[in-house]
Amino acid sequence: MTEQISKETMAGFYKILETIYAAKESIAFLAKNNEIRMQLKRINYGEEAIALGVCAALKDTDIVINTSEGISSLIARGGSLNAVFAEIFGKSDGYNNGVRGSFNITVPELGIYSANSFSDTGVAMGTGFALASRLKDQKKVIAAFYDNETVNEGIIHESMNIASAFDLPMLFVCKNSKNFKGPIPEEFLQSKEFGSRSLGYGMQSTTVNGMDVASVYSTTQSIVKGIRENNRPAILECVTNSLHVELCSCKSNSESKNINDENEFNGRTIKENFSKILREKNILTQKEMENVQIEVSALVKKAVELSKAGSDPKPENLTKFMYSDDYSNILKSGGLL
Amino acid sequence: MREIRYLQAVAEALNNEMQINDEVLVMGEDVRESLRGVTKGLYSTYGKDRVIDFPISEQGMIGCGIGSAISGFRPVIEFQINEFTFFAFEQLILQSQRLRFYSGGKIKIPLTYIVPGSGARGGISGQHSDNPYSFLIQGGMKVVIPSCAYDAKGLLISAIRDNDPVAVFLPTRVLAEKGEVPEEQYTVAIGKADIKKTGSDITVVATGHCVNIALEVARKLEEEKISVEVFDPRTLFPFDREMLKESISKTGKVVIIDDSPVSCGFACEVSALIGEEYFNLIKAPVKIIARADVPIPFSEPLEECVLPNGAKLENAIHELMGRANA
Repeated sequence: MTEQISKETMAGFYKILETIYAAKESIAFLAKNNEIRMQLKRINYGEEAIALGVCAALKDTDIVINTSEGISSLIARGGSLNAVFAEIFGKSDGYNNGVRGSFNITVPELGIYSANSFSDTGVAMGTGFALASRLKDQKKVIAAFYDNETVNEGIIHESMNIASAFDLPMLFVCKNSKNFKGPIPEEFLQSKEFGSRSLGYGMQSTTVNGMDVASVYSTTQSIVKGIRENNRPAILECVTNSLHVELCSCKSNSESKNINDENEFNGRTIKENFSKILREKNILTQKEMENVQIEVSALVKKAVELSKAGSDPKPENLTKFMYSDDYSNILKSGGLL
Repeated sequence: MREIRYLQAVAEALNNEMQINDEVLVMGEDVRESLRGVTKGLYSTYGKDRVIDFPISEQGMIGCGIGSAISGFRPVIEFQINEFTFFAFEQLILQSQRLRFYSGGKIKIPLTYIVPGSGARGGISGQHSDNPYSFLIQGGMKVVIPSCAYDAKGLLISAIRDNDPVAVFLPTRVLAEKGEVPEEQYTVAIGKADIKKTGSDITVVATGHCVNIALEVARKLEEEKISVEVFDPRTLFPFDREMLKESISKTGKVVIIDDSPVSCGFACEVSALIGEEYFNLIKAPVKIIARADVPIPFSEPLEECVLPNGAKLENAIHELMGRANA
């Protein structure tokens, strides 16, 4: 796979990957020290290659529907670290003016939309973007992420059926994480191959190693090309491992490790494997990679400092966020009428 | 002025908006065949790309509406049956209503939901007889409920042109009513109430088809020299509190008649508003005539027990006016 990808692109991927990890580690540090509020006191590793590979294979005009693990896609699509961290700190300079928080940041200018934290119901909205693209002949592709946790949500199935029935340019990206620490999907499934569900909706499905950036990127590229040409939806199943690091001070990282797979996964495996390829193929030297690490760490540090000093959103803007008309009197009365 | 039926006024509004704006889409289940008559003739005029039939999957349909609304379309989603709102609550509230807020006001979602045949038609039991607007109001959604053909056309046009989701409830008991409706386009502003009959003794706040009930009772009570003012909010949220204040300032007495469940419902909210803001203007306790807190039963006498009606309203007015009930 890597042979088809230019050295510049691979080096670019490395920088994005380092930025994603630096941002996540910073979030974990801030949360542990109670400097930021977290909707969930844990951070996941293992889905970075999926976000990066899929986003890199899309055009800027394409749309991404995120799940709760949205930071990776945001950074992969060129999101501003300052605006991401300001949102995480709940500040007015945040992408969503501090009302959304770290989960589900929505950034229309980057084509990133996000819905629910857990149930991935934003997939349904994806079909609307796809319908609009088809009706306006915009040739956009909509990549909608969902987790293996949510493959049994009715709305995911409704959306697949609608996408297929209406010939919509949708890529359903299933993040099939083998170590998900939630309701364990295997308990509730006869078939563990989520991709095969595409048969019921007359779609193509491809399974890829979700921990290999180059594979995800190349595979997505070829699927997206087909979707753009034929307006037929498809499923991309990305199999990955994951590591959930609890951020409560009462739990150590090692206790929360939950590895069932034969291959040891330490959270940084994706990056380590990718770095190895870059060294072997003489794309980047160790020194060059270290320079990238220093550069992105400084960017993250600056974003954190700026966000800490940022201003809180103003209460009078609350109804402006909600309605296109001026309903500020609603807040005054405290009631709806 | 010509008279047309309420349902024709609704269809006319929709057709007008589709004609002048290519971005208005109609989505629903059986909108091509037009089971309810709202979308009659639209499919042959505007074709499959603008009049879009969906498989029976309400959540998916609304999600699709949301995405296309953010992309610049103005979808009008028809719920064939009022209870479909329950099937799709997550998409209605958590997504269509809240996404603009969650984005920090960065996106707009111009989406109209129409619920033709809301409320009890009579004899169709508990799963086709609801008026589920109080839930939507609590979710923050703009809700209108036109009581006559004129308001129906004007409010639907306003809803389609609005940049936020608006739910338009079209009560089943007024769909066949005739009224004067101009042929040209006009709007009735969202958030603007209307005095359907002026009076000086008592204000009846009536919603949807209850406006007709109130008008009938008001006419009857004229013989008893009771002057009833009929206040039609037209928009349930945002509510026109200024016009209500004016009416109460004049009459000092209020009955609210509304065809949705009483507890935590729309009528209670209006009553709470009066108690909190306009207590100094009222001379008697507020009375509420609304649905009992049970589903609609099939049996005709039982159904009548649950629903608001003219006799109940008349009794309430008599009580407030200190007159003995007949």
